[in-house]
Amino acid sequence: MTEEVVKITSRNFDVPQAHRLSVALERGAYQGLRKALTMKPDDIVAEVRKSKLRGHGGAGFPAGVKWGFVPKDTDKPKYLCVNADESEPGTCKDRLILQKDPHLLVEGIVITCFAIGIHTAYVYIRGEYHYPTRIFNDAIHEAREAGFLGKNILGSGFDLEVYTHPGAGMYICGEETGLIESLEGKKGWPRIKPPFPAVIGVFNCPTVVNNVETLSYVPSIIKNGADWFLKLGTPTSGGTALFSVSGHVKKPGVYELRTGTPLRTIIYDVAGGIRDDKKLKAVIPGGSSAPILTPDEIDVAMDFDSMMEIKSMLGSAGIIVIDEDASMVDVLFWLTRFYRHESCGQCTPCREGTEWLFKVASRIQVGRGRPGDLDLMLNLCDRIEARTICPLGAAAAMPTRAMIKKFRAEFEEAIQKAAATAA
Amino acid sequence: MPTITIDGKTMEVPAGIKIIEAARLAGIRIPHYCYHPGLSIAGSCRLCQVEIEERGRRRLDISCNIPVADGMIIYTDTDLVRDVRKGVLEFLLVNHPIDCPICDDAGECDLQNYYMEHGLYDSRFFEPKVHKHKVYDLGPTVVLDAERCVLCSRCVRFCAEISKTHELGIFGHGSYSELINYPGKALDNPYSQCVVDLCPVGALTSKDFRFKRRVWYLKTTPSVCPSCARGCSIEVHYDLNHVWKDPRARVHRLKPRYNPQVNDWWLCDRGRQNFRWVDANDRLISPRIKKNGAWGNVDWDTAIAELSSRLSKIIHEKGPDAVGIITSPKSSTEDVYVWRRLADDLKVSNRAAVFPDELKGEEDDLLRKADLNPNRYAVDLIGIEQKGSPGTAQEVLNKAVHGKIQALIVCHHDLSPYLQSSGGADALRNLELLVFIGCSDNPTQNGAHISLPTAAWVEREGTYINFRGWIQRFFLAVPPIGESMPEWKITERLAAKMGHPYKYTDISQVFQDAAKQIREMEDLSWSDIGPHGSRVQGAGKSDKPERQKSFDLAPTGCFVERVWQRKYF
Amino acid sequence: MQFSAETTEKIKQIRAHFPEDRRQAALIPVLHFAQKEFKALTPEVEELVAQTLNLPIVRVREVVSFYAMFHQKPIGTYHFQVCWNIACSLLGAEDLMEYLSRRLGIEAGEVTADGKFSLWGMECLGACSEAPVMLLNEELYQNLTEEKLDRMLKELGVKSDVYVPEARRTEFKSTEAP
Repeated sequence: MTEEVVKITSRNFDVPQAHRLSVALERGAYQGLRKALTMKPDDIVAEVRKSKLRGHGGAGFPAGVKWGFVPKDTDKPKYLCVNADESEPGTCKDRLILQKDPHLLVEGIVITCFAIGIHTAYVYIRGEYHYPTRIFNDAIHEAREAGFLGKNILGSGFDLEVYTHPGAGMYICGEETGLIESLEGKKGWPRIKPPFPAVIGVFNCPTVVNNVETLSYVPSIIKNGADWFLKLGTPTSGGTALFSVSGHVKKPGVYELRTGTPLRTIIYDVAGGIRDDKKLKAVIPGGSSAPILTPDEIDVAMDFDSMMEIKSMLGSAGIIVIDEDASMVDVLFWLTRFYRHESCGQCTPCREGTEWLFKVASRIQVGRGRPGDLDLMLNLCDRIEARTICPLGAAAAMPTRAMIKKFRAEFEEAIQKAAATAA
Repeated sequence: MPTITIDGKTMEVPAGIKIIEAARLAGIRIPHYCYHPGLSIAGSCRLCQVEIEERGRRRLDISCNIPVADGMIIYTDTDLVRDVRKGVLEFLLVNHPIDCPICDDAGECDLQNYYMEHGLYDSRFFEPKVHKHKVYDLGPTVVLDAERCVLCSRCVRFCAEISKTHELGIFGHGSYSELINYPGKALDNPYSQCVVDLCPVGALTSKDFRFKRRVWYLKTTPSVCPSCARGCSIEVHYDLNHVWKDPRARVHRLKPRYNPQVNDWWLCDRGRQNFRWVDANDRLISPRIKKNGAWGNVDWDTAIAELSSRLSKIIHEKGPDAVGIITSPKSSTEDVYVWRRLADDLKVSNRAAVFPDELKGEEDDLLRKADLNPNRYAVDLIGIEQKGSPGTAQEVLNKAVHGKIQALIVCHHDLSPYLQSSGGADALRNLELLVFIGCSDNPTQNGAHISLPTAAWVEREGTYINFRGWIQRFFLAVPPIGESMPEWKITERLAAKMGHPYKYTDISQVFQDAAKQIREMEDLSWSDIGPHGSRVQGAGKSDKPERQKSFDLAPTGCFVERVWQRKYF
Repeated sequence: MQFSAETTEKIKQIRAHFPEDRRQAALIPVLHFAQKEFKALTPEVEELVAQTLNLPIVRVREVVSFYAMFHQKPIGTYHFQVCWNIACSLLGAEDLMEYLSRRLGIEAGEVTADGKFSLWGMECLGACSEAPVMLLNEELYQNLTEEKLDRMLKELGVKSDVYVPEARRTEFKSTEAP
């Protein structure tokens, strides 16, 4: 059941040299910008709000609403931070935009900055993305030469400078205030809120932080209208989404589909089903921070609100498919290892909690689990979630809890085996 | 002023304060580590979380960062809040070494205190702990035990925001995070030991105090630091009941006391360490008179009688101008006042207190003043130096050197540095009478004819007036050593013997008298001088920014309100 | 110790991205330049960076020790950074790491005695649909297999089964516990 899919962010992925301005222009780049420059900035914000464009970095916050938080009457400079720190396990789509259709992103940045009154944008690209950074830097250079960036863009009187800024290898710098701290040259320690970045952000100035993919939808929203965009998705989250599919599927890849496509469709129709025709065991639906789903939960519509209803999340739409031969004990070990490495260490529950969860999970994995370990881990998850400065605590706790709850039998078995060998 | 309800109690609170501060006003002490009223907000320990209800919605949030809003309802003692506290404490204790038996902080440790108040669970952590630097030399004054550190970052913020010396940082990430200095850059600034006060656990401990005394043996008394003209409010910590290694040691450490008018929460290292001389073996412990070049101890009656008769003789034979009195800006206000009164009554015009060039200290814009004496303002106010008298103590001294003065009474000063140009201590060999009144031995004392021991500042009561005109009371912590007695009492007894009975039986009478005589002190009353002091009239404006808050901001947690606050003020 | 003329120019360009009183924002890019030029962010390099940007050196060390891409000791000329996160591990990344470890004669976190090869386990590199993946220096290699690795090792001069038989090797990542 494959319907005709509208391609917005991925339409140039298979076009050779689409990252070059000449090819991008042929394919319609910057038409959205030209139209936006004839509109009133407030109308652009209103249009994006109407389109129900949600954030694609993980939190799913409505972009237009976020833009509206920036104070209008401020004499401080305002900043846009483009979050290209893509580090959520299972997610590999922002990289493709950066290296295959960078001008789409540049266009989205310019329109957004024009709408909010921003004249400096920093594109924070994770340090490991060496090749995408080079490509994107070339695109900025081309865009500036052609008058799409810099002073008096396309004769509109609007100035904008876009700079790339490298990260240095920490997932927490994808959290919006962690990104701001890292951009300012410090450790990526997220900030307490209030104050919120829209008021006090980069250099204590109003700041908007948006994900690469989110901004890449803006040109088409302006070109084709909010209603068109909204209809592509669900009533509460408009448009399409880039789904990164990986793991035990026949055709792993990045697929652009309507928001609200059922997960089953994505796994079995788009990605070809489980490799070697094995049975499905579990799916991580929205990056590793999204609570894992069992095979009887995969009829859910992949949109933000439907996923919330089943106590998971769409997140960054990073889908990792796990077949019957994999061990959940291993998966929990890899998961807790990740969060323990990435905890910034600033606040107590996450710093000590992720370490403790990892120690227990690795003990179970090497066959030294003890009775009581699972209930201990569940209780630790309760004591981490919602008690930390930033969502990384919850991002570690929620999937751990889901995995233990939904696959408890398998963990119990590993622990009992350990007790038996110990005896 | 917004109205809030906290744990069922509705009250008006000043606008803009944080919930944790409002709770303090309501008498509720919310446990916390990283919050400190003198530092920026970190919000990282997560211990101060409470339930906040606004517009019908209830949420958990840290109370150190959220300002009060009208109509806010706050719950600090629900099941959820209790679980949060247990959780945070458990997480901190997971990698915390149970060093209590060897840790200096035991007895005043906020991890211990909060565990007993909010924890009380059985440990369920049976994994290997993370290990970090232990017994690590951070610098000349502080020892670090990084395993004990709860990473509250108070010390890091102190070094960045207050001392502005940037020695400390937290390196690494996650559970490997470690508080430490930049290798090679020692924690070495004039306020380095403030981080020991700030540290809620035993991660940062004072080298000076290390392993010296268990804190539950210490008693505390409020006092004022006498090491410079700032007059920081302090506490004197002492133990009279136990002997360990040094049999003389009674005072074991000084700690700053919160005073928004003088020193906020801080104390400089120099002032903090300036107490060991009180229990040193060069203290003067008995009145003594020199006979045939050797000292002989006598009792007070004998000493006063001898001094009185010799002084009277000189005044009778050569007139009051043959007498010189050099008091000291180290003496208390009352001491200096009684000397002035006696000098007036004896018509002694050669009197002074301060030597020129006394600004020997280093000064900065935090606390330290170049004037290393605590009470110069009082000396100026009291006018020990009067019209017609030589301007400074140097001039009085010169008169003594040149034989114009036959009897010289010196309080506290060691005159040797000021006699360099006149040939050293020998310059005074022609004096008929040299009297030294002070605490410790020095060359001047050694060369005197009569030596009278006076109680050190921790051994008596009194007041100092700091460079801004703030007068503060200090109190007796340990009894006067040997036979020493407060300076004003010595002067009063001398005056009585010489025919001028002042009938002071208590220092408060001296103070009241001084307040009557000195216009700037006229609306001061001994018993009304509170813990932060009072301002004398005519004093200049504060050199510190005015604080907006209208209530005591002493930090909660490890800066526990001491019992003395009820007894002394 | 000084930056090369080329690096100095790059630093100047980066600093122009920010207001001068916010020059600390240039710290991470400058540390990347410094690591490229001096191979490791030793205390001398930290001192140079602190002076160049006029920052307290403790703030420089905080950043160097926080971020996973910064090393205080030199890594190998060929630095194998194998992703061991969920998607890659599901497709055999840990076996590939063990393979590399055996062939190179080092564990993750170590450099061979001649400084030629080093190995490290990475978290998600953002190429999950092509798992297993790794970075070799700055190049991304996807859909890895043992055969592919074997070919690469041969090209890099690892002809025998195990590169360096002797056990002597050094750690490059000391700020993290094993």
